Amino acid sequence: MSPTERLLAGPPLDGRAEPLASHRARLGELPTVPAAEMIAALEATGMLGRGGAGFPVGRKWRAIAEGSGRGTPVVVANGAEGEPESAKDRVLMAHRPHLVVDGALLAARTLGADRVELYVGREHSAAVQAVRAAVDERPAADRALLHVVEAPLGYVAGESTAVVHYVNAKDARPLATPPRMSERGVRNRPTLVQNVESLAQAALIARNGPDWFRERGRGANRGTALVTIAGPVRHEGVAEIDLGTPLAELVELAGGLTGTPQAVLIGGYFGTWARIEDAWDLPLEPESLKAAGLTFGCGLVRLLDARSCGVDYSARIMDFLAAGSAMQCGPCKYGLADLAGASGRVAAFGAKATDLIDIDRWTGLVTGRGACRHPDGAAQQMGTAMAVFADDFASHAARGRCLAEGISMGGRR
Amino acid sequence: MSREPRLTIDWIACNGYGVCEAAAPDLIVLDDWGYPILPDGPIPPDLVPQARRAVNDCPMLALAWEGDGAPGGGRLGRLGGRR
Repeated sequence: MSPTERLLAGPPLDGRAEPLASHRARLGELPTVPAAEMIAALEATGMLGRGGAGFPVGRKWRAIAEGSGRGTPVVVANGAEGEPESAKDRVLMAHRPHLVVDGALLAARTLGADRVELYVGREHSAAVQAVRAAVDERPAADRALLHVVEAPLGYVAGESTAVVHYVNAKDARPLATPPRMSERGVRNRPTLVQNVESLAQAALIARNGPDWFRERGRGANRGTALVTIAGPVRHEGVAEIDLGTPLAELVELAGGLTGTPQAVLIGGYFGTWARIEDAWDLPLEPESLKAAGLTFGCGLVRLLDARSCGVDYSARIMDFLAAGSAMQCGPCKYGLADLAGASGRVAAFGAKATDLIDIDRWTGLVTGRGACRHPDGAAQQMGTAMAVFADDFASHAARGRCLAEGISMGGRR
Repeated sequence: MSREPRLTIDWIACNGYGVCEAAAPDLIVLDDWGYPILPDGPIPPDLVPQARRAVNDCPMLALAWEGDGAPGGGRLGRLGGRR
């Protein structure tokens, strides 16, 4: 992997968490940075949140520091990572837990919070263990602030209002907003819900400053980022890249191709599909991807082999996201179920005459019509799949035949 | 009130009874699953009475005026109460 890693620098990623002594020897103590200076530094980096939504981190901290919310703020480090094919948060927490804890403590000190919830997906057992052990290694004053909460299973459990709902009431379903979390979140106090990678980055920015952060990266959004690469490459897994690294270079970094990809899903199950020839030279960086109609999201880069069926793959994701709805809002509960049903029929060569038209219409109809963005993300994945695999969707529906190599009629489910 | 009136909906509260469509047929249509599709922009002045009926009739209190309240003031609007 790259010799110039930042978040993942240090001991090898062999499944063991870096102990506090090693962390301190490498990086020193978390420095004391005045709040105004820290927030200005985060703003100067231009860093966007790494949980998927990509909200500017500095602005989020400022909203709490200067907001109208009442009470002492609370910080939630979001390590739920319910994204099935993403592994970057769990790898970071499992190997560099003290960097995450540093970032959470930094946020607490900057915002004057008296409570930090470390919200870790319970299925990521190595990460849970590492974070618990890291808290135990900390001095008593820090331990008094730090609380580990195991996030329940479920795609939507990492959504920021669902996180707050779970911490408050053990119910990981999104809440209707307003109130904004920055005003009334955990215990009705102003709450920062921030992805663990974003916090770890902040812990390095506190040490090295925004100019150092911006030395890396090639596009509008600077710095390094954790990505997860999956599909026909030699080494699937998590890598730290300069933002703006072209997909082709990431593939090289992952040991090169072991197959022939036809398409790529970027950003997670809420993300966007692109044809491989359109994406191959694209810089992996939020602004450049956005200009190409794509999304960086959680940094998942999922290559789909030419022998795999994109119709089937996207239908299975749709099925997963429909089941992952919190079932609170009608358009999401019924719309995603219908989308999953229709795309599943097309994938299985049993399409109804209206299925393709309905999928197209419903992706528009569910967008923007829920308490959270779950339906929007699901529709984005489905809509871009319909565009990228258009010929295959049509062939599935009209001729009962799949265009992907190696898949014969009726060869599904 | 200078701001143009807009409708907003609490999707968690909405149960798709469709009362709003009946109250405001020129503003609200129902989707394939019976949930309201709200107008994108501000409510035209001549349709404000329909919108007010829809807000007041919503059995789940899911439909509301965006921001501080109904045009003309008060949660129920200038006329108050039901028709």
